[in-house]
Amino acid sequence: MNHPGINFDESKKKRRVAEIFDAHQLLVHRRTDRMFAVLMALQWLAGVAASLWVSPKSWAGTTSYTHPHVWAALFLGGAISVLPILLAMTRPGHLSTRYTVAVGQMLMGALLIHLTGGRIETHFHVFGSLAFLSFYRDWRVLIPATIVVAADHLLRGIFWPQSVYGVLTASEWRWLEHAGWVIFEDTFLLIAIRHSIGEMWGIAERTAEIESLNEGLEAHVANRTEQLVAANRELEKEVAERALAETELAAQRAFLRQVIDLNPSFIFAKDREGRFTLVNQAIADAYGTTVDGLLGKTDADFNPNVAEVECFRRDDLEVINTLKEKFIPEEVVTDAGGRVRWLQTIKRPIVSADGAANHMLGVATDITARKQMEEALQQALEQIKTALHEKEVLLKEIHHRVKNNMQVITSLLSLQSKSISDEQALAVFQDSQNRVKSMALIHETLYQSKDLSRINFAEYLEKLVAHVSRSYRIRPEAVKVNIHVDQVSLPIDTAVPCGLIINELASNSLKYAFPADARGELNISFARDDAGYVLRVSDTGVGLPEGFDPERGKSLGMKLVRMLTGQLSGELAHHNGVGTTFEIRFPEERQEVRA
Amino acid sequence: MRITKGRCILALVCVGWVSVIGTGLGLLWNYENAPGEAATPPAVWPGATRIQLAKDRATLVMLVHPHCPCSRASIGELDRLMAQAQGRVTAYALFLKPPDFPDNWEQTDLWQHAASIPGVVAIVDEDGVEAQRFSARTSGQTLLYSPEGQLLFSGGITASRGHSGDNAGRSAIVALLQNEKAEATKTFVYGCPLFAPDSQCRGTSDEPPRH
Repeated sequence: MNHPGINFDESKKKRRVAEIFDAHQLLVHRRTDRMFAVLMALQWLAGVAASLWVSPKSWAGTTSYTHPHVWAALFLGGAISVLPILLAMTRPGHLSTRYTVAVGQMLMGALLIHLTGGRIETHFHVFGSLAFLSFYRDWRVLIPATIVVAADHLLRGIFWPQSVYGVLTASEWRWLEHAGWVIFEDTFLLIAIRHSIGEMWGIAERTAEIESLNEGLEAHVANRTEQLVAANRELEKEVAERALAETELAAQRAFLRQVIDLNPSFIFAKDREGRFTLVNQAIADAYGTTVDGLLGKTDADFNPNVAEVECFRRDDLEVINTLKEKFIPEEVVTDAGGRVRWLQTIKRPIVSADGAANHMLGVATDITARKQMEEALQQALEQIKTALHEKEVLLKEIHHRVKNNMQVITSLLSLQSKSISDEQALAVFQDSQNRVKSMALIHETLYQSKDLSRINFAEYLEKLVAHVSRSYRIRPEAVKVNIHVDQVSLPIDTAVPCGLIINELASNSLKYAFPADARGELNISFARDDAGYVLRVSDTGVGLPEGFDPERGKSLGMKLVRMLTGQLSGELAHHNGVGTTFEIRFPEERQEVRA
Repeated sequence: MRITKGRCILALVCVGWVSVIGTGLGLLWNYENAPGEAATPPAVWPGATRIQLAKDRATLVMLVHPHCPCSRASIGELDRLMAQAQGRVTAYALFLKPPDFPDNWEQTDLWQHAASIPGVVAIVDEDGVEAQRFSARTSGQTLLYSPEGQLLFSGGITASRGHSGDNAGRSAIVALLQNEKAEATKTFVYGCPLFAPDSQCRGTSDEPPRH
């Protein structure tokens, strides 16, 4: 299995294998040293026990004494065991320790053979010891052990042959037979040691392989861990930013929530099935529920008016399907309290990225108050119209009655004048009648017109001049009356003085400018210029007498003209040439102000 | 390998250790292989003995100190010998019983072992009289007489003191019993002295007898 990042250095691996093998071998050597330390101590004690058991005493006739085997087991066994035990405890793992142990163990075998009375079974100790020594897994330790056994037999064969072979003259090479059996076992032990060493090398190689893999894996894991830590930091940063953004978003959402909830208009969004997906507090209040209670529901769940619900549904689907805004100037909705509210609604489709719409947004403004005000205003207007009509009727009636009263006055003056024979007195009466008539004509014109506040001055002037002409029995072929009046309407406060002034000046011309059926023209014009109005009355008659000053004329007529001109804030001018011309200018503004 | 002071000391210690052990083993082996006092048995069956000489086979006599640990190997070898002899010999194991020692003092494991060997008769040798007759000085002394009363073999049947195993004595007896030529007719005897040096087979005990 290949792992990225694993450096498979063969030389390094071989060194590591050797290190592991050496460590394992040292561990085995030390462990076996410790085992032999215990074993040799036990052997020593066992030897002492065996000597005490087998041959505690030796006898010479009737005399007994401690058997030399006991002392040999105690002191010689102790001497044999002490050095290997000390080295095994203080220098475990050293080759010299193993050699010493091997030599000591085989010497102990020789001693035990004697201590057990020369039992042939004790000779197995030699072969058992060789097997134990093979636990070192070091073939070298078998050499001193074998040498000790061979030397034992060789020396004893030389110096005490009867102890080995029971005869004084045994073959000097017979020791080789005994050594050969030891070597025979050594052969098997060497094979076993070789296999063990091979297995240890195999273990070392596998361990090194595992370590190498682990090292690579650890490096890989460390690298991945570092990457994960960095990614984790980045993630934590993103999470923190996201949390901050979510906090801000939540605040913004709460703010927007507050904004739409504070809005008195109904703000809502619905899906294609008519379910509310967004509502504000106003519409929730209108339906007598909460915002959460309204979400997911439809109008039909709260509005008992089926016709309204169907109308809403139709409009909603129209907006979603056509993708077009719909403005509904007025519509009604029945709220939770059963009250009918007037709404002005605008509905728009909520178009998704694919250009389709499955939701619509509606904003409905409650116009119930405005609607009620409009209705109240309409009623007030109706009342005002009625009142105005009644006032006009009353005003016309007043004008009519004033005109009638003035007509009565005129008639009374006419009746009165019939009993008067004095020409001058008659003229006075006639003038008075004309003056009253001129005012009566104003009221007559007023109540006959639609506008009771202003009078069509041209129409009035036609009537006035015709009346004046008739009253002085002026024949039209003798004096031609020319009237030039701009189409202006004058308020009554202006029209009355103007009418009286024209009456005075026209009467004066008709009475005095054309004596003895003289022919001529009487021109009356009323026009508007930049400064205001210009009233001009002229004739082609005989003109004013020599030295006549209109400003100082004491006739009633001239006094009235001056007084009325002043009332109009006007200026009076006259020209006495071919005929007489009076011109009066007065400002328009003033008249309007006064009106 | 670098020679260091520690290694030198260790080498010296090892040399000293081997020397001590070698000396000890040498002493031990010297003890083990030190034969007992040789007997000078009569060449002809002694007439004073109360043991009956077999007329139809050889007669074997072993003198034994009942408390000698070294003779345990001799009894063991006698057991093997009797097995090999296959009825060609009558054997007597004479166990020393000094005077003034309690009864059954001689009834040791050696006695029990010898008495249990087929063809072996265990006999108490009161006061070592029979040992004296056969001139035996060491426990394990074995004598083989022909039916005619001629001494055929004299010596021990162990290779060393208390050492079991093949040995020249047993091989010689077996060969003689099989009418073969024995390689040796006289071997060393390894065992405890039957008599204290100053007692001349009637030695006294240095300590009170146990049992």
